[in-house]
Amino acid sequence: MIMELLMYSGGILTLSAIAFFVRNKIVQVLAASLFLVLQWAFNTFLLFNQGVVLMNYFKADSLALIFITVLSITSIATVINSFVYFEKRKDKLLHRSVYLGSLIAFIGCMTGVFIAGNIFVMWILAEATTLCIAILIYHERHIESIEATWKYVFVSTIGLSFSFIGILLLDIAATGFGGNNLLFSKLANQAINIDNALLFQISFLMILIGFSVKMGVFPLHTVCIDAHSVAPSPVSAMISTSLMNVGFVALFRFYFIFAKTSLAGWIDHVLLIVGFLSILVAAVYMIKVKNYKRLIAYSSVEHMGLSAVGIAMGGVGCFAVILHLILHSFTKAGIFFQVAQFIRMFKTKRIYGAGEYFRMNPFGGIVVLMAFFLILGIPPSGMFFTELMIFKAMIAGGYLWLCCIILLLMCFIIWIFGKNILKILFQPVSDSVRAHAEKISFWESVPQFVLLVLALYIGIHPPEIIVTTIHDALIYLPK
Amino acid sequence: MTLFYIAISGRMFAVINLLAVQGILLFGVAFLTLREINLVNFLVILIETLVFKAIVVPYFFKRVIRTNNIKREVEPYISGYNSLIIVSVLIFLSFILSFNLQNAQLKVTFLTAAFSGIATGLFLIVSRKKLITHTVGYMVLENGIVILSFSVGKEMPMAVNAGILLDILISVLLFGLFINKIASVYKDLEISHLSKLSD
Repeated sequence: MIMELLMYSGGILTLSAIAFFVRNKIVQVLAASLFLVLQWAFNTFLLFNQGVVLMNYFKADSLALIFITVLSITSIATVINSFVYFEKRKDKLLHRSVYLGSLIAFIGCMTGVFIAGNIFVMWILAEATTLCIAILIYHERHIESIEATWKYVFVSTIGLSFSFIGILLLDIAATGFGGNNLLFSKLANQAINIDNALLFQISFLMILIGFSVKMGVFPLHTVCIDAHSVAPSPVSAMISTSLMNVGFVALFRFYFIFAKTSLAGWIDHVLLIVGFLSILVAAVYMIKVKNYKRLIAYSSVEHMGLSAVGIAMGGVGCFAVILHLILHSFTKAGIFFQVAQFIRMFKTKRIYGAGEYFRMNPFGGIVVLMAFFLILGIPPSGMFFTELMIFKAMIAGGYLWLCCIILLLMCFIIWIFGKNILKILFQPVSDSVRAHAEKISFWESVPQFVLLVLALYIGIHPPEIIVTTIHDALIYLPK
Repeated sequence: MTLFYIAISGRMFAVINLLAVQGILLFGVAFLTLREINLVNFLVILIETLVFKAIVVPYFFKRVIRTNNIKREVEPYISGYNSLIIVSVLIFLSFILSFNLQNAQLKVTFLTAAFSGIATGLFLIVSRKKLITHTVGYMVLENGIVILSFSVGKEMPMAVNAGILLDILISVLLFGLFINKIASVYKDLEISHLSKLSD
C-alpha cells in the first residue's frame, strides 16, 4: 500500500518538476500524458482496493473514490484543452511549463485531499492547492490577474488559517475522548459527548469559514468568483469543479464528525443559512454581471449553496447532493472549456461583445445548448432529479417556505442565465465581429461533448455501482 | 505571560521589529512550556520560532520594503488612538471568550493570548492601506495560531509543525514575490488599486 502511494506522489513530483524545468514542447506533451496515465493507474488501484488505509494518514473510502474518479475524468479534458489553449494563444514555452508543472502538482494535491484520512494532512494539502492554483490563475499575467491572484492567495490563506484554528479547537475539544490522533474515521465513529458546546460551535464555524473559500459558498465566495473571471478557461473549469469538490469533501468529513452529536441540529441550521445565502447572493449578483465567465462562476456558487442546503436536510438530501456534484462537475467543466472558444472568437469576455455563436460554430453551439439545459436542471438533465430530491427532503423536513423561496430564486437564476447564454448563441453581431471571428474546428468541442454526454447518461440512468458507492459514502451519517 | 499582552497590545504601532520581538517571545514560551515533549519535536519548534519567526521573516519584510521604496508610514484607515481602543476591546473580548471556553486541556492564558493575536491580526488586515501591512497582520494572526497550538503542545504531532512551517514559509515568500510584482505595475502598494474586478 505504501509503495503505491509513494510511487504516486513521487511520480507527481517528478513529472511536475520535469514539466517545470524542461522547456521543450515534446517533453511537455510527454509529461502531461504520463501524468494522466499515472493518475488513472492510481485511480484504478484505489478502485480495486476500496477502503485501503495508506500509512495511517490516507484512507481511500467511497466518498474519496467518487470524487477522485470525477477528478481523473475531468483532468483528461483539462489537459487536452490546456494544450489547445497554449497553441491558440501562442504562449511562451516558459509560461507553458510553469502552467503544466503547477497543474500536475495541483491535481496531485487534490487527489491527496480526497483520500486524506488525517485532518492535518488534509489541511496541509488543501493549503498546497492554494499555492498551485495561484500560479495557474496568474497565467495570463495582466493587471487583473495580479489583482485576482493576490486576493485569492491572501483570503484563501487567511481562511485556511481560520480552519486551522477550528481544527486545533476541535482537537482540544475532542481530546478528552481519546480521539486525539485526528483520524476522520475515528472521530466520526466515536459518539463525541458535547460538554462545552461553545467550543465545538466555534470550531465548526471557523472550519466552515476556511473551507468556504475552496467550496465557493457564502462567506468567502467572492475571491473564488474573481479567480474564475481571470483564470485561463481550463483552470476555471478545474476551480469550478474539482476545487469546489475539495471544499465540499473537507466540509462533509467534518460534518460526519458532528452528525451524531447533540449539535447536529445546530450545524444543520448553519449549513442551511450558508446555502440559502449563497443562492441568494448568486441570484442577486447575476443581474449585474457583464462578463460571461463571472456569470457561470455565480452559477457554481448557486449549485454549491444548493449542496449545502442538501446536506443540512440529510437523508435523501445527502444522496442527492453527491450525485448532484458529480453531474455538476462534468457539466460545468464542459461549459468552461467551451467558453474558451467564445473568448477566442470574440476577443472579449463581455456578454455584449458576443453573439451568433450558433451560426459560426454549429457543433459548439449544440454543445453549449446542451450544457445550458443540463446545468439549469431542465429535464432530461439529471440535475433536475437531484434538485427534486433535495426539495423533497426540504419539504419532508418542514421547510416548505424556504423551499418556495429557493425555487423562486432559482427561477430567477434560470431566467438570467438563459437570457445571457441565448444572447451569446443567437444575438446578431456586427459584420466586423463576424469577419474577425476565428474559425474553430469541430474537434475542439469533442472532449466537452463527451463530458456532457457522460453527465446526461449518469443523470438519466445512474449505474448501479455509483448508487451503491454513494450509499456507502454516507455510512457515517445516522440513519 | 504578561509580556505577551504587552507585545500584542503594543503592536499596533505596527513595526516589523515587533514581529521579531513576538518571534523571540514565542521562542521563550515554547522553551518554557514544552520541555516535556520529545527532542526532535522540541528542536523543530524552537528553530521554527527563533529562526523563522524572529529572524528570517522580519528580514524578508525589510528587504521587500527596501527594494520597493515603500514609504515608512503605516497609513491606517483608522487613527492610532482609535485603533488602540479597538485592540484593547478585542483583547478584552478574547478574555471573556477564553474564560467561557476553558477546560482541563486549555489554559486561559494561552487561549487569551491566542485569540487576542488572531483578533489583532485581523484588525490590522482590515484597517491598513498597505499590502505589506496586510501581510504583517497575517503574520500576527499566524503567531496567535502558533500560541494556540502550543496549548495543544504536548500531544502536538509533527504534522502540525510541518504544516505551520510550510504555511509561513511559502505564503510569506509568495506574498513577497507578489508584492514585488504588484510594485512593478503600480507606483505605490495600496489596496485601493486592487478594485478592478467587480460587477
